[in-house]
Order: sequence, then structure tokens, then C-alpha cells
Amino acid sequence: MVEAREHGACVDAWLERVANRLPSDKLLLVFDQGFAALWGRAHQTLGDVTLMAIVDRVLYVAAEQYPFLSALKVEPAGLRCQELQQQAGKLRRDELAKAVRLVLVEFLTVLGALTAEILSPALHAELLKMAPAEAGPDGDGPQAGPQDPKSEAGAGAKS
Amino acid sequence: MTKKTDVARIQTGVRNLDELLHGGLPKGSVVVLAGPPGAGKTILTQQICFNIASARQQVLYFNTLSEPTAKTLRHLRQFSFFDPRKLDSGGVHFVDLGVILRTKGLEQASKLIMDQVRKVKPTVVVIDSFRVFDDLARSKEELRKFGYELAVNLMAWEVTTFLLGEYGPLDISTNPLFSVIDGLFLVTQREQSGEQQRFMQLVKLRGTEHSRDEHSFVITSKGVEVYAPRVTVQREDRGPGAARCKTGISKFDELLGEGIPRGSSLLIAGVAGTGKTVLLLEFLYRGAQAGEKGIIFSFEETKERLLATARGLGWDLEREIERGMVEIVFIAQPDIMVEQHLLMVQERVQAMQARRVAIDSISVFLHKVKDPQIDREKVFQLASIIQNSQAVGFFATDIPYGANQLSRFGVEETVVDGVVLLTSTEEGFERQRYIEVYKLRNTAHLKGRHSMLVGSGGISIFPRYELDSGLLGPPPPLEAARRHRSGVPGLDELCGGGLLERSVTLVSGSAGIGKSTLGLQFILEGVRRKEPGLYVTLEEGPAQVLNTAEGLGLSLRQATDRGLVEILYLSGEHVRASQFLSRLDDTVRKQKTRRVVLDGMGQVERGGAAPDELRRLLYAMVARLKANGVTSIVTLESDSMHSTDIVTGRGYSAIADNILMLRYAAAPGDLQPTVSVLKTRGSSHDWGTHYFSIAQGGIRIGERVNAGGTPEGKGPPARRRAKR
Repeated sequence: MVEAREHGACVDAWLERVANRLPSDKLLLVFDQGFAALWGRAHQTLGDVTLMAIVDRVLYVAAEQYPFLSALKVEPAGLRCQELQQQAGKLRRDELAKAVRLVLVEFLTVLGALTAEILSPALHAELLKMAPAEAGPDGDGPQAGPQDPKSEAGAGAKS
Repeated sequence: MTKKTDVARIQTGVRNLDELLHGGLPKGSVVVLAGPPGAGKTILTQQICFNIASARQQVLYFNTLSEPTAKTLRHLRQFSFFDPRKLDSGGVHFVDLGVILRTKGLEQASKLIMDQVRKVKPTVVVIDSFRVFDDLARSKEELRKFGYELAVNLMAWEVTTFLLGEYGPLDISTNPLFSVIDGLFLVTQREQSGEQQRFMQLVKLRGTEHSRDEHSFVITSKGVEVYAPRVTVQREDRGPGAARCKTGISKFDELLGEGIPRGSSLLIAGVAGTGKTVLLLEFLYRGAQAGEKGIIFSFEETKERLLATARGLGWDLEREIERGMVEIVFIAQPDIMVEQHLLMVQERVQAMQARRVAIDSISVFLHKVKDPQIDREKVFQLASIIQNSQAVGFFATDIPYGANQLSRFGVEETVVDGVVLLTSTEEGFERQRYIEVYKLRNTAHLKGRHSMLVGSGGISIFPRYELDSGLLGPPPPLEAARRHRSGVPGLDELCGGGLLERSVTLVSGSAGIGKSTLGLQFILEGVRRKEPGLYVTLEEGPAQVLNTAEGLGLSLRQATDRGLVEILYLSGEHVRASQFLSRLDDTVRKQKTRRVVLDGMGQVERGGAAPDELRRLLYAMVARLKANGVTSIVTLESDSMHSTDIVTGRGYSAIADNILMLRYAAAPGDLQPTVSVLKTRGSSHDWGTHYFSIAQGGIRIGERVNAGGTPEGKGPPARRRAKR
């Protein structure tokens, strides 16, 4: 069973692998793809109404700390990042990095709390195997990183 | 292997409700509180809210179109759970949805609700009443969608939600709301057992075990108090304990064998006036004196009346109350609420750490309950309280006059560990009380009815010590090598040299012939040998006995002054056969008596004892006296001056070791007293009849009466009968 504190570790490991040293706009792109992966996995089980409600809460709480996150919108298809993407150039990279980390961790935490962490291993695995294309620091497509020990088989074995 | 995690819970703080919920409401649940108007939904919910609310745990309370918020607040002030400091930033936020609902409909109301949730981030949300959404929804589909989305949104915020509504049983199966909720509480009120009662039932609650029974509750100034003895009064399995309770009540403990096992409950059953309340009070009083705390729950007599009863019996119960050893709890009959007071009993017993508990009476306590099953359940719960506390409970129950049953409702005796029956019967011009240990689990007790008196000092019980009781062995054999002198000159020679130690001599004779004198001489002979004596008189008072002795030159007064003889007067009018032996046994043990005279045993028979009962009494008495090493003489008055039928006809001869018959014999122109030895056990005796005289110094045996009624020497020679 995944402990609540492991959500932060998972998100940090993933960001470290795929978004290290990325500029703000590409960081946001990677976040968009990573969040979409989580949404896709959670949607299978929870449906859009529940997911929208949860994300609404996550974004509301995150925006209290990072007001620029109010530009993110939740729709039945998932998170819409275009509005924030347009502001990306004006945002401090470190602030944006903390903000996207908060959204991901908060999403995993709230969802974990509501589902007694039943989905958490699968969500961690989904995030960790995500290696966004064309998001590398030099325009190279980032390679799929080394598999985190918590991913897939490891996570599955823990569930 | 999947690790199970405990469900996070919110404790309601409502008395006993969390026990029904097995620890509290699962956090994040959406719970409907359904019930008719006035059933208590709002007060219950508000109480939970104020219990939960704090700076860290916020509550959002939405009023809809049912009751204006101002009115809600005004009503709230009367309850002790209401704390104005908890309003708004203190934790409880009241929000009126009425305007939005009236003007903008469901969607905007939902938006307002969620805006407030986002802003306050509450732990608990209440919508009171949710039923209004049913009325405002244009279709079932809209209502379902609204309910679902609201539930999902609230779930996303991990909010525990109470939706209050005037829903009935039909709604549960048809209203779409009930498909999205996690829990359903039904609150109702109806008449039961002669009174209007409120009930709560937890029909459904996802994610946790819970009681499904209906439980009663009340609303007081404290708010809602749930009584759920089925859940809160559970019998703990303590196994058989070795500890026993001695009541300290006169001779009652002898009936109870090794004592009442701790944790037991006994039914004290009897018709009115048989002494149940006195027995209960004395049980507590003697316990307090022995250092055991006790509490009585009285549903009949007020505290003042119980104290007056105790004073009348000579007990200083007030002092025991002041010392904290006894508590009296009076609940007037009209105020009885079974479930509430059942829990009160539990709390008071535990708080006091009482070792003795009296209920006076359970027949009044449960008088409104008409269902024997419920009676049984409530008695079982009371008994469970006693067992869990390892106390001993005495539950009085009134048996209807003339009914052939052990309890008022006919089921109580099946639940308790013991039954003590108190009865009274008409004997002569009086009613006599009896006590009987009818049943006592795991305890060898004296069976049968035993006489009981209630008087100064309390209860006196007179156990019938019967040989077949299993508690006594057969009487020891006579000591053939040791004889006691009778003190009557010439008599010992007729009896083979004296009365064998531990023997019982029956002296039968008509009135005035000298039976008492013979007895006095026997006692005084013991005095000369420093053998303590007891002279029991059932006919004459002690002063008369002393005067008679003085008239004969017998030094009885000196012997009593020196403490070597005790004269015990037992009024034949008032001493029952059933009490006689017990009193005698007490004195013999206390005085270490070696010689006993029972003068006028026939008085016991005249007092109402049947011949068979007297015979059984004598038999038991003989066994007791012999067991105590006592040599005794029993005098029995004969109606006949000449015949022997009074001795043999009643079957007493088998009881006595020796039988002396005092009769008058016709002498020329006169009647002369004579003595015949009819029987001596284990000894030879003179077969003849002898004249005797009574003068200064008492009886003196004279010459043998010959066949012609003249002194020996003029008639045939005496013959002797030898017996081994």
C-alpha cells in the first residue's frame, strides 16, 4: 500500500528525470503530458464527473498558493493548459516548477485519500513510465528513463 | 497481501451514538437523516456539528427553505451543546440558501454550496432540509443529476455530509437521492410501552459495521441522548469466578451455602408485604458495615421512606450514606424510562464501584413493557451490568396474589442466577413469613422454606437443619463409657447408672406431676460438675422458674447468677416450630452448653406445628444437640394421667434414647406419682414402676410399686430388662 508521503517522492523522481533544466514553457508541456497520463489512468476507474470534482479542488487549493495556476481549467476531457502556456514566458521557472509539483502531488494525495490509495500504485507507474516526446533540453526527445523501482511490476506487487 | 487500512472516522460526540457506529461516522460519508417533522433530525445534526466544530474543523450548515437561520439560532440557544463562540470563525458557519433557491434554482444553489465549500474547506456540511430540492427539481432526472454531482463534489473535498429531509419509507425505494448516499438514519417517534418515544435506526452506512437495531433516544436540554443498551450493555465473558459474597444477614448465609458467586443476580420474589424491600435494604446495610459499597434503585419508596424504614429497624443507614458506602436512587414510577434508566444504572454502579446492587423492583421498573421478550432482554441487561461489575444484584419482583409463578412477568427467573422466594402463610391468627432459596447456580444451598421474622435489628431467619439437607451427617453414637448423673436421687439406678453422655431423655407426664422439677435437678447436677446448662422454658417465664426452684430449695438462682445456667424463655405463642431449633442451636453454641432441658415441648405443637412437623423438628434437634455434645432432657405434657399413648402414639419414642413416664398410680384413698423407665438406649434399666415424692431438694425416687399397687416388699419382685 502506498503511503501518502510517497506521492511527493514519485513526482520528484519523475520531474527529475524528464524535466530537469527544462525552460518554463517545456516544463509546462511536460506537466501537461504527465497530468494527462494520470488523468487517463484515473478516468478509467472514476469517470469524468468525479475526476473533475477532484481536480477542481486540487486546482483551487494550489491556486491559493500560486495564483497563476487559476489559468488552468478542468474539462471533461482533462486539464486545459493553453491559457497558462501563454503566460509561461513571464513566469519564474523555479516558481512554476514548484507549482506543477504541487498540483501533481496534491492530485495524487487527494485521489489517494479518497480511494484509500487503491489506485496510487497504478498512477505512480503511469507517471513514471511517461517520457514526453520533444521535451528534452536540446530539443531531443527525452528518452524513457530508467524504470523506477516503484513502477509497474514493483508497484503492482505492492498493491 | 493487501494491507487493510482503518476507515478515518468522525466522532459525533452524541451519547452512545458512536457506539452504534462502531467508533463514529466514516469520514467523507454522505448521510441522509430521514424522518417526519419534529422527530429530532435538526437537533441531532446541530449537536453533532457543535461537538465537531473547532478552529481546525469547520462546519457548513446550509438552511434551505424549511426554517429561517435566525429561528434556528434562536432555538439552538436552549441547548447546552450550543456555544456561541463556535459560530463563524469558531467553526460553525450558517448559510441561508433560501434566496438562491427561490430565485435561481438548483444549479445556482449547487454552485453556491461548492463556492462555500471551497472557501471554508469544511469537515462537515449540512443541508437542512434537502427535501426542498425534490420540490424544486423539474424532473427526477434533474434531481438525480443534482444529487449525484453534489455528492461527488462534496466527496472530492472529503466532506462528511448530512442531508436532512422529511423522507418516508416510500422515498427510500423511489427517490434517486437514496442511490447516491452512503448512509441512512431513520428517526421516528411513536407510542411504545405506554409512552411516546423517539427511535433511531441506522438503516445503511457504507464502509463500516454498525448496529441495525432501532434504539430509543430522548431530547433534553443536553440535546440528543441515545439509549442503546443492546450495544452498550454487553455481557463480558469473565468465566466462573471463585469469589463469593456473604450477605451478613442473620442466618441467610447459612441458607446460601458457601455464598453467592460474585457477578450473580438474584430475584427476590414475593407478594406484597413479604419483606422484599427490607431484605434489599439489609443486604446493602450489612454490606456497608463489611466494607462493600452498595446502591439501591428504588422505583416505589422514596429515599426518605427507605431511611425511615431503616431507622425503624435500628439501622443507621444515614451514616453509611454519609460515609459513601450506600447510595439511594429514587425514580418515581411515572418518570421511569426503561432504556435511559438502564444505562443510568450501569453508570451509577460503575461510578460508585458498587459491590451490591438492589433494584426495587424490576416489576415496577418494567411495568410498562408488555412484551415478555423485552422484559427478558431488559432483565438480562441488568444482570449483565451486575456480572460485568462483579457485584451481586438483588432484584425484587412482585408476584401477583394467588399466582403460581416465581416472578411478575414469568420470564425473569430464567435469566437470573438465583431466585429467593419470600412467602407468608396464615397460621392460627397470624401470618408467618418464610424464605426459600429456590435456585442458586453453582451453589449447594439449603432447600425448602425457612421461617423468617422482620423485627428490631432486621431480618431473622431460622434455618431448618434437616438431616436430609445434605449439610448434616448422622448424629454421633452415644458414649457408652460416660454417664451423667441425673441429680434425682434413685433415678440413676433405674436407668442403668445414669444418663449416657449425648443421650436424649424424653420425660412424659401429666401437668404438675414434676417434669420441670426433674429437669431442674438435672441442670443443677450439671452445675455441681461445672457443666454449663440451658433451661429452655416454653410455658413459664424465667421468674416463675426461679421461684419454683427456690420453693423446692434448689439453688437455681445462684447458678444463673454465676453464669453456669441460662434460662431461655421462648413464648410458645410466638415461637414457631420452624424457628425453635435455630434459636436453640444459637444459644447452645454460644454458651458451650453441656446439659439442656426443653421444658414443655408440646407448646411448639400447640403453636401450630403439625405432629409430623414436630417429629421432624425433634429429630433434627436431637441430631444437633448430639453433634454439639449435649446431654438433654425434653419434657412433654401428657393429657392422660394413666396411659402411655402420648409417648408412643406420636412416634416420639424412636427419637429419644431414654423415655421416662411420670404417671399417677392409684393408692388406697390417694393418687401417688410414679415413674417408669420405658426405654434406655444402649443400657439396662429397671423395668418396674416406682413411686416418687417431691419435697425440699426436689424429686426423690421411692419404693417400687407392686402388682397390687402397694410398695415393694408387699408385691412381686422387681424384674430388670437388659439391653445392649
